[in-house]
Amino acid sequence: MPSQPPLPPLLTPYISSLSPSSLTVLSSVLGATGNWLILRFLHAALSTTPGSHTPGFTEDGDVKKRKVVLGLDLARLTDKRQFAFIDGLSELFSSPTTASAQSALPPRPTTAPRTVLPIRSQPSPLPTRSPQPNPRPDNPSPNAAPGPKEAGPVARLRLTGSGTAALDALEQEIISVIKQLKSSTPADEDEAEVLLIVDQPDLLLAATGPSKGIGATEMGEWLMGLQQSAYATVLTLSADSPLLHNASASAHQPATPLETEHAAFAIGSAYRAQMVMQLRTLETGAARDVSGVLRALSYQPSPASKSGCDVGINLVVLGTTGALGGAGLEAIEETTVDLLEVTGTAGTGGLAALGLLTPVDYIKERTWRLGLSLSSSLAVSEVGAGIWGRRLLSEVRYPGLVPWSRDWLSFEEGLGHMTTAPFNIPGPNFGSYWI
Amino acid sequence: MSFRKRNIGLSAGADRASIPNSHAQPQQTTIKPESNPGIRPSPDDGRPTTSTGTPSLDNLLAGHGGLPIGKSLLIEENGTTDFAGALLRYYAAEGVVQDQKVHVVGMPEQWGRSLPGLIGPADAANEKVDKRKSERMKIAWRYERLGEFGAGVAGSRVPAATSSDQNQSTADGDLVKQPAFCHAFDLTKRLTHPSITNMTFIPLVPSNEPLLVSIVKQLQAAIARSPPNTVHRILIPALLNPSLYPPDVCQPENILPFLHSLKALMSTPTARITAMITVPLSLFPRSSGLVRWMEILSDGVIELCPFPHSADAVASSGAATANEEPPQGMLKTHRLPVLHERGGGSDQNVGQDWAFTLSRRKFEIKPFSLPPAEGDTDAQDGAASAGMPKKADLEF
Repeated sequence: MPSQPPLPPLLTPYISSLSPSSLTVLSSVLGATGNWLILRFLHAALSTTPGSHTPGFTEDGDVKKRKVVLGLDLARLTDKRQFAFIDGLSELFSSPTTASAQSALPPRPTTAPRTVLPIRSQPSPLPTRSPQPNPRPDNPSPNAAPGPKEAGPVARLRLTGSGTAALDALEQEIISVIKQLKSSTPADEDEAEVLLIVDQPDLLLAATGPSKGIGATEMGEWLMGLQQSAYATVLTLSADSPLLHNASASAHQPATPLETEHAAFAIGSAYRAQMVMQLRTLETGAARDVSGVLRALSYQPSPASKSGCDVGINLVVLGTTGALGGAGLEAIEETTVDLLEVTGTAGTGGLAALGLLTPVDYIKERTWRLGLSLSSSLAVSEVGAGIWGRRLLSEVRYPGLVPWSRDWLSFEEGLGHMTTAPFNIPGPNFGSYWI
Repeated sequence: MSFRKRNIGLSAGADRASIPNSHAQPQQTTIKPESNPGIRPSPDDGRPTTSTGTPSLDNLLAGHGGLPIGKSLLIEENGTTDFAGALLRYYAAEGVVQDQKVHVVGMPEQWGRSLPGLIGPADAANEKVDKRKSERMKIAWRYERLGEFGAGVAGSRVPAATSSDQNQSTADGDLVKQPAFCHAFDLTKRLTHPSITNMTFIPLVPSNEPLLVSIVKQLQAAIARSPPNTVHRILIPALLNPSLYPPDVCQPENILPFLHSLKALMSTPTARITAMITVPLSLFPRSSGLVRWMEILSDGVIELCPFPHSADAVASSGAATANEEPPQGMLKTHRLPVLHERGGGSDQNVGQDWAFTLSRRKFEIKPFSLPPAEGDTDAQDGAASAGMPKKADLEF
């Protein structure tokens, strides 16, 4: 495999220039997880200016621990106090005494740190490109590159009690780690800017529920408290349809508290975010060369758009060799992007974000976008008609919507769901064409 | 005729000859920590995997050729059938045969005595495969190995599901010294194996602490008690089933922390655990937020949709050929243990519709294909005789 840049050029503007005190929401669904994008954020933050302090910081509701990430040695960066990892998996709900019986780690190793970072603890989930320097040891021995021992053990979050008190305890723990990172800056430099990556805090919300006094409001306040101590915040959320749409009034069944609270938290976060990046699978089913769609929606002058328009919608189709959920590096290389300017919606950024999340607006927006995509692809269709036709068709939610020419019929034979769809030649104003 | 210079040693040829060994051996020597028969490195990224006891399910798991250690598989089933239970039994029996420690949650010990009986290694057991193999030998025996070369690193050991059985047997045939990775079982027989008494059964008994919390603690204790390097399998049949579990288990604040703790336990650095959980979908539909969260917390999600019983006629016509058994249901993969960002290695399987067939001897997953319309044989014959030009007509 040829070597590829860790950051795809098309994505770089969106993940490497986070504005101060901004919130970036990254929504994912079951078949299209955001792990790879989180790693890109990490890489962008940690590798931009080697030597300067741009600490990354991860709180994991889900497990995402790698020793070497895209060529970054996280253990070494931890030694240099540029990166800190807070473990939200190991002991969040289970008692520390029994959990640590096997690993023989103290439950809260604030004193006498023994390990640098058990990042290699996973059964070697490492990218094949980056060889692991030492095989996974069975005992948690110190790292091969011994750094200063005060580099700090992994803080492990543990949820105790209920209500806002429990959340406050978590917040204090996270903020203390952030302060450690900030204080480790050499004196001759300014205070470090801490990028905070909070990975799936919605698990906290889902797993506690209203009976423990944690709701969407409390989570939102908790997040805002965390934001205050960080330079920029990246937040990942689950945006699966049952979690968002069951709570709406048009749902068939009454929503459970889990669904209503999750929808409130996700939509509220999307409102407050400066940028929403949405990952989802193709709605026509899995394809071999495209694993999903990434859309970035930002309410600030997009670094990629030269015109300075307030809202830019980017459609990035990722192709990959992988199956469900895998978004490939090589794929992003052959990415196609439609940068579409939305005029007149500059004042309604929040509503546009909501449009990502609610079903009705969503379809409208797709339909509208489709016309533009088609018109912009006409030139391309002469050159690389095969790939374009297939990609665009896999983007089309309703296959009968806008086929451009008879050729498309043959391109989409690989997509099993669409072969029997009728093909109509649309009228001239297909921008407003509805199914 | 060659473009190579003469009088120069054929070093390139020697290299080429050593390629298949060179990419098979380092994986085994470096990744495989000790000789454990039930564990082999994934051909996709080298992580240790173990078999689910069902060869075609192993092949479905994102190119790993097995369930990666530390990962869990959630099997959802619609309707009142128990195909998922059969998968669980194969999974448990494979663990017993491989001398792994099997923990069963919420089932009596009777369940452990009804595991399917061992036939033998999966490749040797199937005489149909052998027949197919011998047929192929006649056709292209000299090209047989070329398929493995051309398949690349990922395909060299774990074949695509379409040609899985043949390649499986040949790939395993190369590694004669290796013990079998996956075995075949017979559902009508009972498993008798010396280590079957080694299974742990965790009953669902009410105690003073919440039920699921006590289950996690018992699992933790049992795993901590066992010697290191033991491979564990955790089976949770029919999770949330109201005939087994009390109703308060279905609350999100109980079940989700349970799954989260299970995930934490499985990702403990020193432990080597896999898990298989089944959920009845009729009671807990996928469109509910709770089930979606359970899926998010699992590493692999597979849904079984058995055909309704009245559709036997339809199902029987689903067999592509006469000697194939008709599929008994559809299988959907919602999430596969794709664990690194290049995705899995099973890209030729993406987007296919899968059907499953449970027979006495195996649970087979294969691509679903609709047969040609039945009762239309007249038209087909007519087309063949009249419509199609004869060979003589085509020659010019």
